Amino acid sequence: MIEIDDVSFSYDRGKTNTLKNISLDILEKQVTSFIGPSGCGKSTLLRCLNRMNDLVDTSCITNGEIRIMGHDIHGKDVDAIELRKQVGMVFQKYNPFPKSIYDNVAYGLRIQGIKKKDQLDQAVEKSLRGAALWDEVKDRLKDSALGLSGGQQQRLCIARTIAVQPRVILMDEPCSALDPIATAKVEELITELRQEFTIVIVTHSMQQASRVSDHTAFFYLGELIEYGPTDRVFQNPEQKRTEDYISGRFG
Amino acid sequence: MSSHKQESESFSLKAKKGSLYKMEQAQKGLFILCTYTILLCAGVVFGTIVKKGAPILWAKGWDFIVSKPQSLSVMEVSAAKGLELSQKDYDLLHSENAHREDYLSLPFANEERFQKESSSMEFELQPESVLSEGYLGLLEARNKGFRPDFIARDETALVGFELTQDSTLQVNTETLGALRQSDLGGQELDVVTQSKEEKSFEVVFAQGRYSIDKRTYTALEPSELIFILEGRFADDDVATKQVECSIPHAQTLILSPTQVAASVDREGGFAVSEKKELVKTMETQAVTLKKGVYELPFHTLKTLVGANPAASFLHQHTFEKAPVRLNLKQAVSLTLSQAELAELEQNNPAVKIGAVKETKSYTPYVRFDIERDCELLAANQQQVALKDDNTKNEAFKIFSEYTHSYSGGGILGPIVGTGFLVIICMVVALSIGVAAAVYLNEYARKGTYLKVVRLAMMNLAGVPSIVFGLFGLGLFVFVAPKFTSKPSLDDKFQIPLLPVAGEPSLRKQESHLIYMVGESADKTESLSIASNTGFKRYYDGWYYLSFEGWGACMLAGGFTLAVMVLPVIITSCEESLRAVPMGFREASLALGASKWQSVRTAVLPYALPGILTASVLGITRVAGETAPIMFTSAVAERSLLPWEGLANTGFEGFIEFLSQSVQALPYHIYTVAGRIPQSEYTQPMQYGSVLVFLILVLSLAALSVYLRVKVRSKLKW
Ligand SMILES: Nc1ncnc2c1ncn2[C@@H]1O[C@H](COP(=O)(O)OP(=O)(O)OP(=O)(O)O)[C@@H](O)[C@H]1O
Ligand SMILES: [Mg+2]
Repeated sequence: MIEIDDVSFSYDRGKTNTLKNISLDILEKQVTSFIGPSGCGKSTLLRCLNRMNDLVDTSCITNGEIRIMGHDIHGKDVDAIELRKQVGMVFQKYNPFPKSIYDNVAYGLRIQGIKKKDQLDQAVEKSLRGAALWDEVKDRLKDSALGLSGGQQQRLCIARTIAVQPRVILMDEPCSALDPIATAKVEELITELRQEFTIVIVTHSMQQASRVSDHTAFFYLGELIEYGPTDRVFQNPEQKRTEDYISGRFG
Repeated sequence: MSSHKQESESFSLKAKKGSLYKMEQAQKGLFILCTYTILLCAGVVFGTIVKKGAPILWAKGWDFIVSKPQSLSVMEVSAAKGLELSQKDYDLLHSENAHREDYLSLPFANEERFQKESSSMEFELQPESVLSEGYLGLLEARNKGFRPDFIARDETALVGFELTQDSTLQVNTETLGALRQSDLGGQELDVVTQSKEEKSFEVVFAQGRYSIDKRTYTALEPSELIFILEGRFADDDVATKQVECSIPHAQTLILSPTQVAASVDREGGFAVSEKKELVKTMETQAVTLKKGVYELPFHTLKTLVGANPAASFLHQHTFEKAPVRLNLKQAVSLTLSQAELAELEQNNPAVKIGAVKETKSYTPYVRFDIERDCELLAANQQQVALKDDNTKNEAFKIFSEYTHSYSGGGILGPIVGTGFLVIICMVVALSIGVAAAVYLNEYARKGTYLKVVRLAMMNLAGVPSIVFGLFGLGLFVFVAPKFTSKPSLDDKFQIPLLPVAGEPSLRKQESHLIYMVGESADKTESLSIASNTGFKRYYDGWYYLSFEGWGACMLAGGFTLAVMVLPVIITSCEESLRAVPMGFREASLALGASKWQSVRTAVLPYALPGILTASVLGITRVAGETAPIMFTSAVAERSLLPWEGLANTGFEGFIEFLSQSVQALPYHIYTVAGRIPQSEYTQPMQYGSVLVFLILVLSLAALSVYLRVKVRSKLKW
């Protein structure tokens, strides 16, 4: 589904590479988790996948290419907006707009020019159900999204993302600001979403990675150290550094 | 036990002298002292303004805000009984005098309110009426909505006039004839004849090129010579400045001796091929007329008045403009007071008036006494009314009158002017400012360019406002482009844009390269000369984008103020944009929005509170500036409000509206405080204006705080 092919990435016009020659394939309708110590470049790689790094003026891919279903996403005539419709993103700090719950979910569709009320209503309900939030908020769709709890807000952000029907959902530490119960709900949601979407998740929690993901990639200082099925990576890591990190001996 | 004691001795919390803590306490005390001193000073200043300004606000109340500034007359009047004044004027007179400290009580007594009967005449004005323009003005003033077209000034229409004393008048033959024909009330005309020689020259100007100086040019202006000037003379050129010119064909002209001396056969004049002296004997005649009322055709009367500047005529205003023939489709019914109608009929013999109907109307009036000889303050209108309404009251005398400019009335004009300046300024500043801030904060690449721009903006924000005033004068008043079919002579540059519909005509007064002398010069001839010599740009026939400036007007002032606040507005807009969390932009982009869509839907709405507060603060700054508007739009004196007296309607009216200069509050304060003669009468106005101004500014500041709280509470994240 997503082929990352020998990619190097730099935040400062190629002076130093934040990512170094990374190659991995992300499989369709599977959950892939990125783990690694802080600052190793997990978020950077994730943000490369939907070209969010374009926001940083000085950033550039210095080597290799990223292909999504065979299309090079950094190609000359690639429409970054279209790409982001296909590759949605959920952020570490939940960031709903200060609007009503309904407007938040409908935002992406309205941006695409969909105005019909019933079409929007349907999509909003479907997305909220998809994000397992419908029952909690169906009576207060017009209330401000900021009145929801942290966990609900994060699930709202997920609902907002799936409303535009992406193929891939990128999640950057989606649970790091949540309490264990909210975390459990989001994890449950992720397992359900994998039926429909390809999911890439960055996490600092080993348990979470082992619970939700099918494949795990371990990064260290901008390099991919190990990549494989989660069970194998956690039970017999091939690399010494992976083992050390997983067992909490450094990091 | 002993060890415990020892410990408590070595460990003391007592602040020592000179310790950091003590010093900080002292500093804190000092700060508090300074703050209170400053507050006290501000309080004293503000208190003085309130103390001196409040009485006048209290006395005049709402009138102070809603009436125009006026000059106040100080009249020494006698005690009198039974004076009359319309209620409105009486109340105004009251309020002008009420705030004076030197009166324990006003000298008015025995007020009696009543309805005064006045009869107004409703009459029909017939088509084809001829009347002098002064009376047309009277009719228009008394009848709202009556604005007739007139066909032409009628120089031959009879006009009435009055000689206020017996006079001997110089007359020419024509005037004499007209006098003979007119009704002189049985007087015999006593004609005295004198003869006088008058010299003139017949001069032949040959075709060719010449170099003439300004003196020649000025001397020939009221003659009929056609020549093409290849440069121009400005008002401030010296008399010896020379310009090349050519005479397209030979012409013969009759010139006066002074003209010849100035323009012919000298260095800097025309060299002429032939010059012949003509001598004419003129007979002048004088007649003696008794004091009384007479009638003469307008043009004759004009000559008569011109020839006898020393004689005293009445109804001078009717001499300034010829009577006009009204272009009415049908008779219109109009009203005037009895006296006015009588005067109209007497002075305009050719006016045709149909059915007259008398109607009585009632105005609220006050009859009152002035108890003692006293000093009264009255604005122009009340002064006039007081005199007019009481001409018959013998006891009422005015011993002396002094006028003090701007010591009466209110400050409506300045408030309105400042209001419009602020509106124009904010429309311009916000549209440019928000766009610039969005560009700088959301689109521009971070780098040296941005740093330079920010630095420049920071410096601009600190530039003294007088510099912006001069900048505005240079750019908007003198150079800014204007869309017009009649570019001014002072334009720097012009671009023809669209042809004007209809036939082109030469702009006589305005063209300087092709100079046409004389009223009767043939138009087609001049047109052909002009086109042969290739100076096409001096035809009407195109709409130009002419870089001639807008002149000192509201628009120029508004733009200058906008330029002045732009740095502030941009900086604060950028700040509010920066305060919007990055997460909103990222979330919006991640949902497939374009850059502009995210800015519009996920950034700007949340920056709005900040932008609003910034703009209200901008308004307070702009409203208080004097220097930028001093050269670009403000005038000290203007009796019309901006929307009054516009000649055009629709879009052109709007342009005309924007092209006026206005009074402005800070400039008005400057005027009353420093530019007019000061007196005890102007002082209340100064304090009153300043107080109103402070109240305005404070309420704007309060509004900005309110907005910030209100809007912020709705849009919180
Ligand atoms: N916008 C940026 N501009 C420049 N350098 C950046 C930027 N964002 C991240 N970096 C640098 O890139 C490196 C990788 O950062 P990244 O955010 O990808 O780490 P991470 O693996 O996500 O860490 P964490 O687990 O703490 O989120 C870090 O050294 C960081 O300093
Ligand atoms: Mg990260």
